[in-house]
Formats: sequence, C-alpha cells, structure tokens
Amino acid sequence: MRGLSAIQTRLLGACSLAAALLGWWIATSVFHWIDIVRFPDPATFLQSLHQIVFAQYAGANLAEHVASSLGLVLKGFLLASVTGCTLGLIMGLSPFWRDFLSPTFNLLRPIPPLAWIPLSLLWFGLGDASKLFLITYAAFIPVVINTSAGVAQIDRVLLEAARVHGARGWAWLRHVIIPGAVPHILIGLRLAMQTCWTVIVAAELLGAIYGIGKVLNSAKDDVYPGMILVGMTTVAVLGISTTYLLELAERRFVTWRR
Amino acid sequence: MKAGSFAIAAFLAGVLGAAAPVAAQTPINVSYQVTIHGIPLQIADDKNWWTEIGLKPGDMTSFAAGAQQIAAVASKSWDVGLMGGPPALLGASRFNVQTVLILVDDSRANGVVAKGDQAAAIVANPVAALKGREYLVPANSTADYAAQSCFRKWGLQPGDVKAVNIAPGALVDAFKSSNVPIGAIWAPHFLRMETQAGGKLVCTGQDGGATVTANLVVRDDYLKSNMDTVARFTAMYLRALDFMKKNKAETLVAMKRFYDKGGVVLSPSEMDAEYATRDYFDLAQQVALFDRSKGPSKLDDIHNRLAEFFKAAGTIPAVLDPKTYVNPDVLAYIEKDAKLKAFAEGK
Amino acid sequence: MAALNHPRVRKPWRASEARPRRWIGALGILVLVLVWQGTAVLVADASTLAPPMDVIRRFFEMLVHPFAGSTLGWHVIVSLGRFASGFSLAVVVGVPLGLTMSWFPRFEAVITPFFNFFRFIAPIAWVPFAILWFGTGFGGPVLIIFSGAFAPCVIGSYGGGKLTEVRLLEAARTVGAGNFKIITDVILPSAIPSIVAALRIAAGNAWQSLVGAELIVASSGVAYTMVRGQMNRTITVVMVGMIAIGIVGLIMEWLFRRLEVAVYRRFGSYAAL
Repeated sequence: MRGLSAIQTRLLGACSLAAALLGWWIATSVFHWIDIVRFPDPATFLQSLHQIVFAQYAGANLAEHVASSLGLVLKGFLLASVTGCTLGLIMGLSPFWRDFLSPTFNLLRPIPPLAWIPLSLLWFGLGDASKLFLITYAAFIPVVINTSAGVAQIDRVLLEAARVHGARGWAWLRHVIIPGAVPHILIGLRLAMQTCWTVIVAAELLGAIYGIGKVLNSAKDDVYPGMILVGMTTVAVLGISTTYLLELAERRFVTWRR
Repeated sequence: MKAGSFAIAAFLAGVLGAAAPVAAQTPINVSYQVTIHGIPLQIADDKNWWTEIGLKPGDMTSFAAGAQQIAAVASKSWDVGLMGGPPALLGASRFNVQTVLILVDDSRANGVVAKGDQAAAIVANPVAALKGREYLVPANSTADYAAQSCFRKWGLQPGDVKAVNIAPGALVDAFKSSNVPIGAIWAPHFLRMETQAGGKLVCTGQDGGATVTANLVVRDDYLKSNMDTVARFTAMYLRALDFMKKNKAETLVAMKRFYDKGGVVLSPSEMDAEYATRDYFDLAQQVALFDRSKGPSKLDDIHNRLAEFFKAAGTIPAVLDPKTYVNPDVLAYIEKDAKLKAFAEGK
Repeated sequence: MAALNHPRVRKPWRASEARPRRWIGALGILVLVLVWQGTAVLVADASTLAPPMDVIRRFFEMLVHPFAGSTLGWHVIVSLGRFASGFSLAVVVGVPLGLTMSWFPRFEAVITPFFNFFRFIAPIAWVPFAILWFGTGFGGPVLIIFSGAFAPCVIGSYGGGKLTEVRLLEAARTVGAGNFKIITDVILPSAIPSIVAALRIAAGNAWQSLVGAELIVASSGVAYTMVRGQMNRTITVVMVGMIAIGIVGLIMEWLFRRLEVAVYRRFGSYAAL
C-alpha cells in the first residue's frame, strides 16, 4: 500500500496539475470568484505572454529579458564558484588563513545580500556591474562555507595515509582533498544557484535596464496582473532549469572523477 | 466583528453625544506621499481641523510613489489618496478611481536633468544626443509625464528614449553612478541631482508644454456611499491649502515637521524651492478648473493630453473620457453646503 | 590513529583541530576596518562611503533620536513583528505538510509538482502580487517572508519524516495506530532534529526576504530606513541599516544554533540536512 511506482507518481502529479489549471480557469473565467484585477485568468495570462514573446514589454521581448538575467546569473555564479571554492579550500587547509578570515567573514555574512542593493547601486550604477557584484557576493558565501566545511570533515586518517604514501602538492589536492570535499561543495553550489536568482530578481526590481526583475517591476507599476504572473512563471522556470542543469553537471563531474 | 465594533462605537458616540454635543468623528483612510501635497495633512493636524470638521485620521499610509498607491487600491487599503495626475489616471483606467480636487500644479517641479557634461549637447540637438539612449524615471509618475512632454517638444518619438524604471529614492544614486545621460524626477530630488550628482536641469514639465497636476483621488465605491465624508475631507484640505498659500513661514515649519516624521531631510534652500515651485488653487479656482458649463473643463483638456501620452506609451489601452473620472461632484457638494464652503475658504 | 604517532607527521594541519587563535581573527577585522577607513578617506567621497566612526556614531544617534517616524530600535521591532508572523505561518503550514507528504505517497505525488514550482519562485518575485493583494498592509510583507521560509520547512520535515525507522512504523501499525497518531507520535519525534536544522535555514531565508520586501513595499521597518537614507542621500543611514540587519541576523542564527544543539542532545543527531 505504501509504495507507488514511478509511473503512478508521475500520473498523479500530472492529474493534480491538470486539476489545478482547471480550477484556475473555473475560479477566474467561469464563476469569477477571483477578480481579474487581482489575479489574471488564463486568457489574460496567455495574452500577456503573447505580448512579451512576440512584441515587447518593459523595453524588450521575453528572450532579451531572459538572456540578460540568465547571463548575469551564470557569470556571477561561475565567478563565485571559482573564487569561493579557492577561498574555501584555503580556509579549510590553512589554520592561519582560517583564523585570519573567518571572524571577518562571520561578521559580514549575516548581512543579507539584498541589504547590499542600495550601496551596490551607488557604487556600481544601474548596469551589469552592480548586479554582478551582488550575485557574486551572494553566491560566494555558501560556496566558501560549504567548501571549507567540506575540507574540514575529510577523514583525518585518510589524509595522513595519503601523506604517508607521498601525496603532495597538486596531486594531493586533486586526488585527496577535492574528492573528499566534493559532496559539501556541491551542496554549496546548489544553495548558491538559488540565492543568485533571489538576488537578481530583487536587484532588478529596484532598478534595471533589462531583465526579468524589470518586467516584474514594470508590471507592478502598471498594475498589470497578467504580466506579473508571466514574470513569476518565468522566474520559476529559470530557477528550475538552472538547478536541473547544475544537477546534470554534477552527475557528469562525479562520473569524471571516477 | 466590524459590525460589532461599529455598534460599540455608535453606542459610545450616543453616550458621549448625550453628555456633550460633539459631532461623531468619522475615520477616513488616507494614502499620501512624503512630499509637498502631504503637508496640508500636517497643517490640519496641527490646527486640530480634523476634529473641527468631524473627521479623524484612520489608517494614514505613506507611499514612495503613486504607482504603488494605485496597486494598493485593489485591496482597498485606502479611501482617499493624494498622488500625481499620472498615477491618478492609471487608477482611473484600472480601478475607476475618481479625481475630485487638484492638490497642486506640479509643472515646474517636475523636470529632466542631464549629466553636466552632456547637457549642452542635449539642448543643442536632443534627437541626436538622446535617440536610442535611456532615461531614469519612476514609472507612471508626474516626472515621466513631464519628461515625455519634453521629449515630444524636442522632436523625439515615443520609444526613442527608453525608460529605466527606478524608485524615486534610488534615482539620484543611480544617476550619479551610471552612464544613463538623463533622469526625470520631481523636486527636491532634481535639485539634488544638480547639487550632488553634477546634473543640469534642461527641461521642466512647463517647458515641455504640459500641465502636471497632483490629484486628490477617491475610490469609486467609497465616494458613492460616503460623499459627505469625502466632502468634509476635501474642505479640510482646501482650508489647509489656502493657509499654505497665504502663510509661507508657517508652512515651512509644518513642512519640516512633516518631512522629519517621514524621514525626508531637506536643507532650508531646498524647502524654499519645494514651496516656490508649486502653484496652489483655492476653492473658487478649483471650481473654475472643474467647470464644464462651457464645454470640456480645463482639467478635461489637461487629462485628455495626459491620457494620450499614456496610450502612446502603451500603459492604458484607450483614452478615457475625462467625464468618467474627473469628478466635480464633491466640489459642487461643498459649494452647496454653506458651512463646508466657509470652512474650505478658511472663514 | 596510529598515523598520528608516526614520526613523519608534523603538527596537526587540519583547520578544525587547532583552537582558533583570536588575535589573528582580530587582526583580520582590523584590516577590514582599516581598508574601509582608507577607502572612505582616500578614494570615495562622503556620499559614496562613510568612514566607520561616522557610521557608528550615527548608529547610536538613531537608537535615541527618531528617524523616519521612530527610533532604530522600534524599526527593528516592527520588522521582527513581520518576521515572526510570516515565519510562524510558514512553520505551521510547512512542517505538517512535509510530515504528511513523507507518510502518504499519493499525497506526496499530488503536492510535489506544485511544491517544486513554487519553491523556485524567488520570494522577492511575490512583491507585485503582495502589493496588489494587500497594499502596504501587514499581509504583503508576511506573504513574502512566508514564501522565503516555507520551502525549507517542508523539505526539512519531509526529509526528517523519511528518516523514521521502518521498524518503528511497523510496530506502530501492529499496535493499530491510526495515520494521525503515526504522524504525531512516531514520525514527528524522529523528524525533529532535521526540522530544527531546517528552521534555522528558513529563518535566514525569511530574514533576507523581509529585507527585500521592506526595501520595495513597506513604509516602516529597519530596511525602510535604508530607503529613506538613500532618498536623502545620507550614506551613513544606509550603512546603519545594513549593520542593524546584520546584528539581528546574527542573533537570530545564534538562537537557532542553540536550539539545534539542545535538540540534538535530547533527540540524538540523525539530521537529514
């Protein structure tokens, strides 16, 4: 009774999604339980989608907005992964650098990336530089924390054994430290990806030239529920697909490692 | 629960009424901005005019810009709102909110500021300097309207200059630190763009040939069932406006108190400019602005032009008939009621 | 362990082994402050970056003198009130949902697609609807905070529920316990360590979402003072806001860590996260 097969699970999921869509249509278009000035009906949603895909809204079409946001997230994410992993490894391996940096790090960490938005606007302006700063900063933190934690939890016996067998320098890092820390690093990367999206949407909501957050901001100020829903759906779809891509990359990486 | 507390309030009012003949004080929910047209609320507060006219402040909510005020109509967050003409029109288009009074004429207080080193080029040949560039502006605001009027006067088509929507508070910083050549905003911010961000004012709404107003708007359903309350509020506002017009020194004191409370810090010269860049209308002038006896009223014309801009920008689907939202009924109600009229005129 | 006594082994290198040397840490913070001070004096002008002392002075000033309607302390309290409402709502809805999902596979199959969809909507993306539905009322920020805290609550309690030992569940079944009883008496206790760990993450997310919400919609609260500071072009106020937000975040995290430690002592330490 307890277990469900994969097919059953998918089928149930699909059914419930279909039921929800039907419920949405009934609540808005058929019985008007929900006023469409507060939540759009499916027809309005599709119209808004059509407008932004084929014409434009907030200064560009959907593809351009998405390209702008996605590009920034990927750039910031990569930058943060590389720098964050490096710093995390350093902090995990060197007691001096750990002692030197972690209090400072712990002091800055509780300030959420979103609280940096006003300063970042002032320092870097409205363009890509400011968003890149925020995204990188936001993604950097979970990567550093998890990488250094990952190094710290590697089995000591294993490490010493590797030393005894003459593992040194790059080989030691490549075959002992990194593989040992990878599960934690991956957790950090996944957290970082989610933070990236939160930050870019917020930063663009507070002022941007293009981007999916700008769509939401304009839709908010135009009181345009259809477009608000389009914006939110896009945010969700982008979040889901980048996380999926990340998982694919992880699987690749893990296979490569073996 | 609401009915219950209402019954208790009515009962208490009855008891108090028997003890002392005080008129019941009706609460009214007001949304405003920490800007010049909020000051009459402070003056009315200081002078105890709320009580005198039988009102009391309900939920007093401050917003950073009008567009959000309009979004909040859907949840009936407020009964009357003080905002710029453009958000008022947006509200008319989306939620049928009614404009019943002109708060101030904002034409000279909204303008376009250019980067100092580009100002000369922009004034000399706006089309060449600005076509394909961006401008910073809070979307659907008075400043946006002023800016678009300037653009049109300069021979730019809608869409030639791209709007970058940004909150008014962040605009000066954004202007200072990015390479967007121009920004449009209202006083006192544009003074700051000049003094603190190296900008130069190149065009005001008035230069662009637009009349930019700030409007007192009322939710349609609230107006229908609470005409008397709205009229009393409007009369109180008019009285404060009249006071502002006649007493600059005291107004500046009230302004300081009001802005301090709202977290807005201005220098004395900025406050002076705040006061000086606006025009204020008394009851007789308001009635004349709303008058439709000889065809469309002056406000009808102003709002028709505004609506055409909005339609060109794609924000509203069609130009609305001003008769559906520029509503002279409240003023007429005050005119007819001798007591309210005297109150509004400060007698 | 024998390796440790091996003559070739030098001092223990691993970071977590040595006690942190505090003076080195203090040195690090000192460098940060010096860099901050140096940048403020040499590179930036007063409206771009304020020197540390100015910010600290402003911080204490704002504790006493009202800014934007009230003192800094009161702004923090307003923010915490919003936080508490949104966060507790997320816990009250999210934890039972996660536990139920872990026990009923059919229910899980029905909910999962929605959950996965909503989970990926950045909490801040709810801002436009929050304004449309609640105005600047209390509900708007609460909705945004809720959406920040909800997903970790569900994931934590679901993961914790799945860790329940099968023999416990079977034993409960044999003595004829009903579904409700199984969830409350068997699954919940096993899931508690993982729920508590999730609560800490949820609180962090919620606090961050609150900052975003107040930057955009609110007219009071600690992040709102930053908006006003920005509007007045006083960088010290903006930085005081950041520091206040950081301090509250720090205290919050510390409290939740304490809670975690206490719970681990009581329930053992098989957390799912």
